[in-house]
Amino acid sequence: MSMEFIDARIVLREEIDIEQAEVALAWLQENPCWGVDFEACTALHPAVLQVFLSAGLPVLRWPQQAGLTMWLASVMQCD
Amino acid sequence: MNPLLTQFLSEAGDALEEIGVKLMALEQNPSDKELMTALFRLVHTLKGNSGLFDFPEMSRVLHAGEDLMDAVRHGELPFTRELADCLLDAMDYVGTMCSGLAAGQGLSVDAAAADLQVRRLRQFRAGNPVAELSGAAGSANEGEFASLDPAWLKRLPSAAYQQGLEMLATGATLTWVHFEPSADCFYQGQDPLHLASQTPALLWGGIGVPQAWPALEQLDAFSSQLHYDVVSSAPYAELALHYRYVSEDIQCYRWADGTTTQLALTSPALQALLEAQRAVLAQSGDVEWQAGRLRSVVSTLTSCLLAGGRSHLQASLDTAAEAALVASSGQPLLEWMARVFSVSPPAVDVDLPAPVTLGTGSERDASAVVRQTEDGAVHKTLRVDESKIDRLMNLIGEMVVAKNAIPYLAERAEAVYGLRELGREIKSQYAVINRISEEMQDAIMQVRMLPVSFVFQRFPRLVRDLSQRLGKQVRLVVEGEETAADKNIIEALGDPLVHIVRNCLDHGLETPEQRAVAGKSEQGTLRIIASQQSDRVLIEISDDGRGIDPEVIKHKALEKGLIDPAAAERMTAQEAVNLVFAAGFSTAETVSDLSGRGVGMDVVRNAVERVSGSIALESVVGKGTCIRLSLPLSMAVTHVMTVESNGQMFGVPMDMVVETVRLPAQAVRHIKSSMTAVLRERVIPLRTLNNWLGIAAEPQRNADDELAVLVVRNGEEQMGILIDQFHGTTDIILKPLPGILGQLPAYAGSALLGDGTVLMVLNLREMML
Repeated sequence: MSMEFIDARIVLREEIDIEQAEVALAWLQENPCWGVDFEACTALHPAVLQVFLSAGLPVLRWPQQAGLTMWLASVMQCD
Repeated sequence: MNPLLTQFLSEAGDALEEIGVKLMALEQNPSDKELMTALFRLVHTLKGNSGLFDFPEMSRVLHAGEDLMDAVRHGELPFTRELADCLLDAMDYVGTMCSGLAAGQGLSVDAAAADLQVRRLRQFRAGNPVAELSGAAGSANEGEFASLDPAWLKRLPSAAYQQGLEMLATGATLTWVHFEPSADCFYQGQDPLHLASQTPALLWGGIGVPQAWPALEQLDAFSSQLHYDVVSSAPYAELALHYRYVSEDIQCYRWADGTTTQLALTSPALQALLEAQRAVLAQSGDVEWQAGRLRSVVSTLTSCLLAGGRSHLQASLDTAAEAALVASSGQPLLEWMARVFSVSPPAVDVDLPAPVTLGTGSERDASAVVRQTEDGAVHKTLRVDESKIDRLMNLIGEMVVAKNAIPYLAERAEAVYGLRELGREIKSQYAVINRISEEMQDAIMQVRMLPVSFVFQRFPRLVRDLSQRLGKQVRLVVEGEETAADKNIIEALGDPLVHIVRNCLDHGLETPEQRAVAGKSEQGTLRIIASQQSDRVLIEISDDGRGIDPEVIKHKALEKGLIDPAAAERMTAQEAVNLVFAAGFSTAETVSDLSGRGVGMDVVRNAVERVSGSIALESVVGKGTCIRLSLPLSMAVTHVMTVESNGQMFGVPMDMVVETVRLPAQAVRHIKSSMTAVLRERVIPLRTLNNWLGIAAEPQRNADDELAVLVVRNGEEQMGILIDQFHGTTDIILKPLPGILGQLPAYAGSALLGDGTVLMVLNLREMML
């Protein structure tokens, strides 16, 4: 699992757990961000998701996993 | 038990007690917002703390209680007696769980009982049209679900929506589950998204957001703000099982066939779609693609019918379509549309449930933030384990004893080594140490002091519940709650007082009818008054009830064989009344679960005497009864008189000593094997201490052939004890004898004297039995 900040984008891989919420929040407070790349993400803790939503981030790439996409699509927009 | 759980249980006990007190205070003053807020905060904190452990049942009950109080707090519900009853019951349930845990029995999980509590609490949330999913027991039946607001279906992507319609057409049952986890759910280790995504037979799942997000700087990432909606075709029981730990956060709706009809009529999206079709149809038919255009419109309208669950109108659409194709004009279809979709555009926004839900959510979150700051208030009290205080107490006890050795040292310096100056210096230093250690002892004793309110606070609830059950009207007056005494004394006071209060309610006070006949006000009064008199705490429990009839008591005592007729004849009224303290005496006509189990007042008396207290009862028939308890402020320091017998020193508690006298040997009368003497015109029975302790020695006489008699008292009874020599009085720290020695009834305990010798303190009450 990982969350990386690459070129003003957030790139998620595999499972993202609750601890990443604060990391993401702290980073977003300091840096501009274009959006989130969910492509390799398989599971996401809602605490992290609500940080993205609060920051109004768009989706750069939808997850490959259809189940997660369904949930994200109900609440996030594609860039 | 792990320390965290220990702390939780200790805090939970306090919180539950305070909740009970506040609930009853609210009953008196339902409009007290401050009290309500304090109450809410208590329950909220308790719920939060319970979430640290795996006690889902406890958390659920507390959560339901918290919600109910929240509703009351916001004026959505009035605070009534029934509501208080319900909340008190729920708190009792939690209390029982805590007691089970504290007793090391683990959590006795009774999901059905928890469900019952939760349901009862939820019932008070009037205006809630939603049937809650109950727990695994699954007693809620599916018919109770509210039907789904059609506007919600707009959130479904078309594929999922179509699939849902098809499933409905085949007779499937679709349930919409709205899951709104509490803001602190992350702290309880929950992952609501994961839980929702694992919903059995999931057709669709979506996330809802609060109406407005706080700025990023203010966002609390760990306060859950999202809610979740899922559509599932699973049977109810499966859903109930899946969501059993969060059943109070769940609302279920039935997606029924009819739901979609309403969607077709009210949906703005559909209106827009229809408007577009009308615009197409209104265009001139003078183009070659007119047929294709018409077919496209017909296809759209067919979908609209399907989506609206109105497929039965398909035939009329087909007819209109045919006519339109033949005429190459949109007019027939326009007419058909006017017939079928003839609704004025409704103000659907008002009906949207989403903003309502979100509003509630953000409001809840906002208050959660406030609550957090409130909870963060600095506590000025320090919670210390009792054993630590006891250790301090023991240490200061040792210090007092060690300090007492210094005067001996000063005397030795003077007498043995001839150093008078040094002796004086030691004495002045001793005075300083003495003062400090006395203050220290006092300070440590203060730490152990508890106000009697610790015991009294349970009475409002007790009186309220019992009087309700007995159909009596009782006004409880409590005074002097701030009177403090040692923790052990206060704790020992609890059960006897409860018993006395129960007796007063059950036997003492009459029903309103009986009181009216006796010419009293319908409401009886029960007074509990505490006060301090020198080194004793006095507690007076009085009622204005029917009083105790000495004749009835005598009669009962005779019946039970507690006294013989001759004794009954001689007895004064007061002595007869005192018979209620005799073992096995109970006057209750019927054995109730309140009192009257025949283990009445004798148990009370024993409990009081165990802590060196005394009890007295006064009663006037028709006027009422008054019971007075007198207890020492502290059991830690005992004032004793030291006496000598057969070369050994013994301590006698000063509160029992009446006088010390020298009695001429010839004044002792022998009656069979017992001895008596007349002292101040009273016959006093005499016993020798040596005899009692099994020492084969006669009491020594002084040069004038006089015996040393220590006259002691136990209640009304007096007795003379023959010893060899009197010594002074001293303060000691009485320590119970350890191990098997503790079973020796002759000794109350032991103490160390200043010169290092051990003083055995006699248990004279045992001797006087």
